[in-house]
Amino acid sequence: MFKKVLIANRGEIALRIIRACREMGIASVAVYSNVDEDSLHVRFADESVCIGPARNDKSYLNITNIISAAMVTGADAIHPGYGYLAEDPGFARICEDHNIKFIGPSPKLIRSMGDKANARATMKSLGVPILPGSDGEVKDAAEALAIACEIGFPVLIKASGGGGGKGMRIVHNRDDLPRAFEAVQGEAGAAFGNSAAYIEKYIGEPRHIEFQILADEHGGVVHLGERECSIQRRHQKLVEESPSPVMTARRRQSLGAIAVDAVSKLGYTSAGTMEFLMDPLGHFYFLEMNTRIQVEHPVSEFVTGVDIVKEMIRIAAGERLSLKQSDVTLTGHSIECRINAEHPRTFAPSPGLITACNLPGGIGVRVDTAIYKDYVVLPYYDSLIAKVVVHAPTRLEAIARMQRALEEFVVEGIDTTVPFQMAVMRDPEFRAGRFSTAFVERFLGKVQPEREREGMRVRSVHSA
Amino acid sequence: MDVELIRQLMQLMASCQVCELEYEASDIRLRLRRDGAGPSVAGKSSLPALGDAQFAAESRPAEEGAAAEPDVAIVRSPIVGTFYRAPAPGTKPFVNTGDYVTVGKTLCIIEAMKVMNEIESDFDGKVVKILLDDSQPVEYGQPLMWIEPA
Repeated sequence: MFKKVLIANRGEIALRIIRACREMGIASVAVYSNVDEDSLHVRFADESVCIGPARNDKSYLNITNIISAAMVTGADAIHPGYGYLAEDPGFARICEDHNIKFIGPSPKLIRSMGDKANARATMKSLGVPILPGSDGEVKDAAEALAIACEIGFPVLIKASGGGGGKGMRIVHNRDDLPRAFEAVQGEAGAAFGNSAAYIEKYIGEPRHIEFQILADEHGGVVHLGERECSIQRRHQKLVEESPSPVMTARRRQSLGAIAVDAVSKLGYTSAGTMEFLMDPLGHFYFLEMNTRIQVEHPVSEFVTGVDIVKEMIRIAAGERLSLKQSDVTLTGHSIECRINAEHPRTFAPSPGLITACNLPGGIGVRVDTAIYKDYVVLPYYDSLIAKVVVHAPTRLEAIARMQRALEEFVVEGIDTTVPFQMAVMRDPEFRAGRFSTAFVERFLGKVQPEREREGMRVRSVHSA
Repeated sequence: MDVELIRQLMQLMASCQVCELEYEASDIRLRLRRDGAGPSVAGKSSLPALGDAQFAAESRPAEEGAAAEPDVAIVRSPIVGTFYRAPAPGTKPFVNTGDYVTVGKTLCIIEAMKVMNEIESDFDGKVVKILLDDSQPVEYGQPLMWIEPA
């Protein structure tokens, strides 16, 4: 087992990983930019190293300083968290070159799944259902047009180096296609340094359902069931849950088996997530594979009882998975709300000083956060400030629990998305489990200048 | 961990109205900061107790000018690595305390991933203090030397 792990990340996920290390008796090293000096992840880790100024490219993406920090502290492994360098195959390779274990899959698999067109083709060859579309990269607009006419409009032109909704355009008819294709190539080249594009049939109003995978280095592979992540705004997830309200045991078994089989044939190791779209007829299609831990992993942890971060560390240390597929059962229902430092209607970023902070608790409530009273939410980084996660025996009870938890979640001095998520919990379509990725846009259209529930927010917080 | 030492330092700080104190000995380096309402350690009092680990040797950059000589320029590390005073083991250090340096003069080396990065002075002046020992690890922003500008 590792003696010391460096966490190449910040905020709530860095804290999450440090907690797992602490429980496993592994020393933790936090890295931070100089403006993050007062962060919780820095304070809770056993050691910390300042790796640069505020800008991400000079700090949390600064591979040289991060590797150097691992070397001077004697860390024998690095956990990259999510975002940042988590899916950078070059970083994973450099770790290997310096005898530092990268807690994640191999550089080769990170690279191959990171190329979205290639991932699609790979999954197809492994028997995973994919959307009608191109076989890999589309060379030019003429080829794009031919494919689009064959599969039928509307189509989605996607950047191979993108993912997570980045670098995509919908095309509804042939006339718009050549220009849209070139636009995606141009934008992709600028944004990802890779102008390759591919095409898929566009599904209106799909559901986004993903499977959590764990695989060890000895051939052991399991899935931890699915997560429903359709409540998204501009491809950013805001509410996730497990299990999906529309998943049946049979579908879960068959889709889970397909995912496990593909992952196994790939020789994939560590945690990973296979994302699918479900069309209105209930057909599933592979979307992409994420070769990292995901933000919403707590809902899977709640319903299965598995500590995904600890499993990742154990897998990286060469241990076998502590469970077989038959050991995995989904109990109850879990929902997560991603609380961002953003206005609840306009979603305008709201960095600043937190003047009051009360976090929810009680039965079945988990809050993963790095904020505290007097903390300054910085403008340089992601606006996620907390994940409020609940677990209850049924979906309706989980919703009631989430409402109760959100009422207790008091943060003053900045805007948060809490009122938005509270309104989602009240929404009849959400409560009925009847929604798709079109939900949020429709929902925001419905919710006009509704009076904010000021009465629900506590004006001042007294120290306990 | 010498709790009695910490207690004495804290009393010293309170009695002398010192807000921030850095203490270094061969085996330990402490930084204590008072936030007004009584002595507290390295941070905001609203945080829960974090345990002994936080008292162990931390490499944090000292505040600009805090409890320091007046009018010194602080040379800080631009990268993470290992500090060396001389070009190679056994050779003469680049600079010693009391030396006069000009802009561009190499002061030290910080080695990172086998690359020897020469750190050059941004100031003309006299080297007043060298803050680290040979082969000590350094982090970004960590003070290396004090130079009294000419």
